[in-house]
Amino acid sequence: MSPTAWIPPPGPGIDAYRVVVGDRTIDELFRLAAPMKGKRLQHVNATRAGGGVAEILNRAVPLMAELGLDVSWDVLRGEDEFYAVTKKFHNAIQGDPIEITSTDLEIFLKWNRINEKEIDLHGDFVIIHDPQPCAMIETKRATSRRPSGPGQKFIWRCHIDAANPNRRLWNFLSTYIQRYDGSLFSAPQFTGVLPIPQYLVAPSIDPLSDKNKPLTEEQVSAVCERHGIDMKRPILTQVSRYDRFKDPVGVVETYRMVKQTNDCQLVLAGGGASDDPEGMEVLAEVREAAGNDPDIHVLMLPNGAHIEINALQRASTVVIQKSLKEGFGLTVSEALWKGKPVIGGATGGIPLQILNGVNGYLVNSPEGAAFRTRFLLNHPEVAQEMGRRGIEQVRQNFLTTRKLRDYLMIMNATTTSDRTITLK
Amino acid sequence: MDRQSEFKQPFVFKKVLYLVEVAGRTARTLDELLRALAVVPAESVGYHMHREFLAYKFAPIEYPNDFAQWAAKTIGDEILAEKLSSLRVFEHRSLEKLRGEILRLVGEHLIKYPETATRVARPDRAFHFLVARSVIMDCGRTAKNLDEMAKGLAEIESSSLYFHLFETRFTGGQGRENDFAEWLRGGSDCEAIAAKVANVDPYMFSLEQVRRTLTRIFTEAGARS
Repeated sequence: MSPTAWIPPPGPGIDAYRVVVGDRTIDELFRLAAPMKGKRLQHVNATRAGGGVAEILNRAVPLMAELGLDVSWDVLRGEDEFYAVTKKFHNAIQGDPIEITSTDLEIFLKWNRINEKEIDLHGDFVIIHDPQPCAMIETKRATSRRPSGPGQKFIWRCHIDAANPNRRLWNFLSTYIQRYDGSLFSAPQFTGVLPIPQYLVAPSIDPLSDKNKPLTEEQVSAVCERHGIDMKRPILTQVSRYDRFKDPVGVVETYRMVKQTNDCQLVLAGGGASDDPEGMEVLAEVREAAGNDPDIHVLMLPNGAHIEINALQRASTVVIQKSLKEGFGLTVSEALWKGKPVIGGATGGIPLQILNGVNGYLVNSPEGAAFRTRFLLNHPEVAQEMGRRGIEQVRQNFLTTRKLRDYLMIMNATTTSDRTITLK
Repeated sequence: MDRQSEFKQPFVFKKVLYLVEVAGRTARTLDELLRALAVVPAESVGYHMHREFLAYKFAPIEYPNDFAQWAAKTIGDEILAEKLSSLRVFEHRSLEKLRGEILRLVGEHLIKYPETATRVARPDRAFHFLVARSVIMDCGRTAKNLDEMAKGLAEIESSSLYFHLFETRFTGGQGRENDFAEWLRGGSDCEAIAAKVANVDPYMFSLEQVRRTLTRIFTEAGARS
């Protein structure tokens, strides 16, 4: 086994998903996978644990193997200088005004070339995740002239919002990205200007993971008890890291407005910010805004507190995701999956998940969030119906099985130029 | 025709899955929409006209296609949205002809209501032209007679209903009836039921409502024969 290869720990098998999505959906996956049986699918990304991409691959890789693909996953090697540059790249692609220097570009290329030598890009399909490894294609494809017909296919998966990237950086990265046979983005508004196909694959949640699997009432109440949350009174919850774009202080304002007319508690649950100076700053602002109100619970949870988050979402009456700027905002789907109405900021991928007035509400201000929250607290039957619809919305659109389906369709699509693919 | 009498050709139930990609054009004004509409692949027009019907429905949709929805909800032009909603899509024999009709409709609207051209969508509410690659699969089910067709209709996936009602209508660029009506035309003494099936307007109902209507038509036709 190559030193860069990573084998994820086993999890629930593909058949365990039949009870969640139905036999037809799982059978469909096997049929889509049939033409790809035995093909080598190779994923390459930057980390094996921590972060959304690793979380996705840890589940997707074993499931794809069960579908008959010869799947492997390689993880980049790098040192601090490389990760410092790729962190800058990440922020600059998302539009932060950061200066990208020639030294940054050199460091980036140096580590991509080192990894290219160490990782054998052997797959029939090679999926490179995010910008960190995107230049590894350099020697495999010396120019942007993409060969048609059979042969290795390279796909670049962009998990971040590339709608308004730093121009200098994007021009640099584009010289590599355009050598791929296709690219994948999470939503149309996140796509960039590229001369290769840009497929849309929405992120998804795993219904059988610790974060989303069903919990017993005892598990939920134990978590609430531990944090001093009263399950007999309404609970408003926002789960997100302490980041100004998530507007946690705006959520405290919302709570105060609601509290004038309706008894309720507020839970703000975030974590993983101890090494993030800005995160700690925002946490301090939130604590100051909360004051000594015993009904506001500002929780700092450790990484991997998935059951804890799951229980808090399940205990909630209304879930809030009042972001001012958002990537896809998958915590919305997590809450919808637990049958909760969600009030979310009308930004990023949130409007793709919340159908206004159907499974929650889209809002643009603390006042809007407060008005909708009060409405739901006063109309529990509406909240319940919205919760029911939310589960169905996620089942249809945002579960792991749908993402597997999209990946398999892309593999089928990159092997032909036909617009219509017919499978027996 | 007897409910058990077999047709010469069995009906093969198929379904469609969409792999969606961006078509490389966006619009923030009606003018930009018009210009992009003129150059995107015709399949993009078809996708935006029908996509909504494939999506899981919680309530009747307000506007039946993406263009109308965007005109109303983002640009705030409800008159145009109503016009776009009223399009008789399948009267046009090809997606190119349908595209021509939408271009004419939006163009004339902008002449009549020039003020609407000044409305600009927020950057995050731009219209993104998308286009789908279709993956078509057999459902592993056929119908050889009216009885089997009624049973099949009651049980097949909604993506199969969608395929036979929407996806194949512009095949060959000639325009055709829905697949169920086309199949009936191949049988003997089926003209009346074929006309009934052809008249079911999928734009007026959800797929589940269409399923019930078609199942009823086939069940009644089988019972009478």
